[in-house]
Amino acid sequence: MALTETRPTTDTGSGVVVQRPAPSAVERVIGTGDHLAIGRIFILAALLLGALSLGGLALFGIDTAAGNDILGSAAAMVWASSAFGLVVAGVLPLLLGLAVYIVPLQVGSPALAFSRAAAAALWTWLVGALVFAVSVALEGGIAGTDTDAARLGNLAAGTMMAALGLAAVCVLTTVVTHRPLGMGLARVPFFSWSILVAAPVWILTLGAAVGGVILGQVSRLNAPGLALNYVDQVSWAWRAPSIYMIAIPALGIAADITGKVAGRRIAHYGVVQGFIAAFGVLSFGAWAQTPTATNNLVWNGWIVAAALPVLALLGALADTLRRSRPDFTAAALSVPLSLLLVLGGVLAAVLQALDSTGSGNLFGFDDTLLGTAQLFFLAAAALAGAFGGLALWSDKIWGESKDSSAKAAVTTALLGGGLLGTVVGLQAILLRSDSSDGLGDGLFGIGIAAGAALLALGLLSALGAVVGAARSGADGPSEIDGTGLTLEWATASPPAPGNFTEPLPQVTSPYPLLDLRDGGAADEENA
Amino acid sequence: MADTTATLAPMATNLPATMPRRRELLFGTAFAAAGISMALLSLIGNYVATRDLAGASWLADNQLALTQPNMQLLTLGMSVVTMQWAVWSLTQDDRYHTYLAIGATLLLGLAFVNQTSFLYTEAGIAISQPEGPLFYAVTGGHLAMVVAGLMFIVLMGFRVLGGQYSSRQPDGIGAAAVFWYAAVALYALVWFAVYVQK
Repeated sequence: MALTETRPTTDTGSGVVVQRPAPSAVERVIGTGDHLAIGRIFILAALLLGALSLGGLALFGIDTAAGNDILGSAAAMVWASSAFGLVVAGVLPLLLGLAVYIVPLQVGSPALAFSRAAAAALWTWLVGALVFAVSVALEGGIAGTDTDAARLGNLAAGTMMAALGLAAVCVLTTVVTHRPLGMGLARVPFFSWSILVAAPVWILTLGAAVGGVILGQVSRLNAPGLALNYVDQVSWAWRAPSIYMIAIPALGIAADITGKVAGRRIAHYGVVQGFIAAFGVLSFGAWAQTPTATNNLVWNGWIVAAALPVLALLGALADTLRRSRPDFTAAALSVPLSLLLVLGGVLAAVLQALDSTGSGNLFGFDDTLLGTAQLFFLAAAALAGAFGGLALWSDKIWGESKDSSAKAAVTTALLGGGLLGTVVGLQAILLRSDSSDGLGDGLFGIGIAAGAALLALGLLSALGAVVGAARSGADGPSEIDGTGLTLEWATASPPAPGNFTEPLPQVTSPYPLLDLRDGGAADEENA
Repeated sequence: MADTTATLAPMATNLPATMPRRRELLFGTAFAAAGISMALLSLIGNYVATRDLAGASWLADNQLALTQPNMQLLTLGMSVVTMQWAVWSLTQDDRYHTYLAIGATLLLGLAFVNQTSFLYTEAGIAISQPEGPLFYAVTGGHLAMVVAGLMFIVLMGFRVLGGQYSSRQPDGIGAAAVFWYAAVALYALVWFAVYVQK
């Protein structure tokens, strides 16, 4: 562990026993280095802030339908800031919160690597998000009209991205260095594997985007200049291929859920890991920052190729599920829905790739809107995956589960995200001729408002499930789940301090607990 | 299904008494350095693209002689040798030479900071001129990384003094070295992109 030594609660160095006062509840929360507490706070705050961002999008939709009577000149700022907030204040921190909590358990570690750095990342991100919200209220945020508030928004955006990068370093280091004996990378559980794939992409992409934010800050640009700087330097991170990065953990969660609900090994484990890794590699897009980067064959091929590992993974998981009769739980429901939403995002990107074949726009689609459609589809996919993960590990995190609320969250994620992505994608296609007004402001606005409201409802349902589970599970840890396959199920729910009170079993396959029940390691290659 | 709890303990007796050494700080530093490097690489790419668009007018009113950047590259190049000397000495449990090497690296790093300050004065590039923001974002960002590297080395040096690192556990100095090498490698890029190709 990277924790430095802390002073004992009683100091006997001078021969006099000094009893230190017990920290208050607030002090315990703020000063915690416990990955369980950090993960929970990340999850709760991300659900709230994600819903707030979607509230902004819904407001934009209502304003558009009402002929821009509500927001006036702030409409563009609310649109851009809400889309940014959905990813950086909602989706990414939710996935990181889940990773901070679950990854150490999956790899059999008593703690997260650099747990104090993770705590610093949490509070820095949270303060950055609150400052960003204030800057939006002052007509700054992203693409705002007030110069001082826009500079504040730019700084807060950079702070949030840097903090999330730091949190990604912590979970990545945990997977790389905290694995027990026998757990080679080929035996890492799928969610941890997907974090191993996603975290480097997040670190590099967010790092490059922070470079753009630094440039905006150093240049001391005015509000329009900062808006242009965001479009030129940062917005590439929220279109294909970079935006694929937010859905990588959803693939790992889907694979872990499939194994758990089917109660069996996923055949060809390494190949399935390869699908997730391939999608991860194809989600690295910092090399295509300039607008003209989309007008070349490499970009087009890169975008289209990303569909293949997702389809292959869908096939592999369907093959596992057809051999068993899984219960219709929220977690099981999230598997096909999240993968369908990923494919929706890839489809929007493929449309852009087709359009940008050659030197100009072949079909005249609105590429900016197509990029936003990709963002909405993939954000919804990531949220559906995260809701599935929260449902799967609800006992582990909160000590109890509320499956009906979780089902509502997963379903509304599909409906809301699907509607948002489809409406924006359709608008991008229909606006291809100068004479067309697309869906029309009324229909477009209503579609955006309804989609954002549904997705926000999904986040609030997930929050309801989480709070309900936390209240029900407040009685104390429950018994070890005897049906688990991987190491996170080898401890109480929620885990005791130090995570594992019993010595861990020797890891000889990706499913050590299943091996125990089977009476020894099975041949994973032929499973 | 069988109860997992009941079967955990017997299997656990197969575990060896000691766990393998974990290079947590080393990996964590490498990942963080990659993220910081990406921010600087993005800025450097932006600098090169903007300069290409500006053409011959880029920095036409400023004196940006190559002598100073060359000396800076040489200084950082020497610091790589002294940093590696510190790592090697620690793995040999030669604490005297470890302190000497850390001190030499710090001296060279501070010399680089001083040289950069001198370069800024000599070049006279104003932040308000078109080249200013990009020039200072690239070189200032790198300078900040060097200063962070120096602080990292100082911190790890104190830990060596405190006896936390030795040949059995040299991760701290190794991690500081990784960060330092990343900073030096990035300077080589800054040197070529900003000063040589000016």
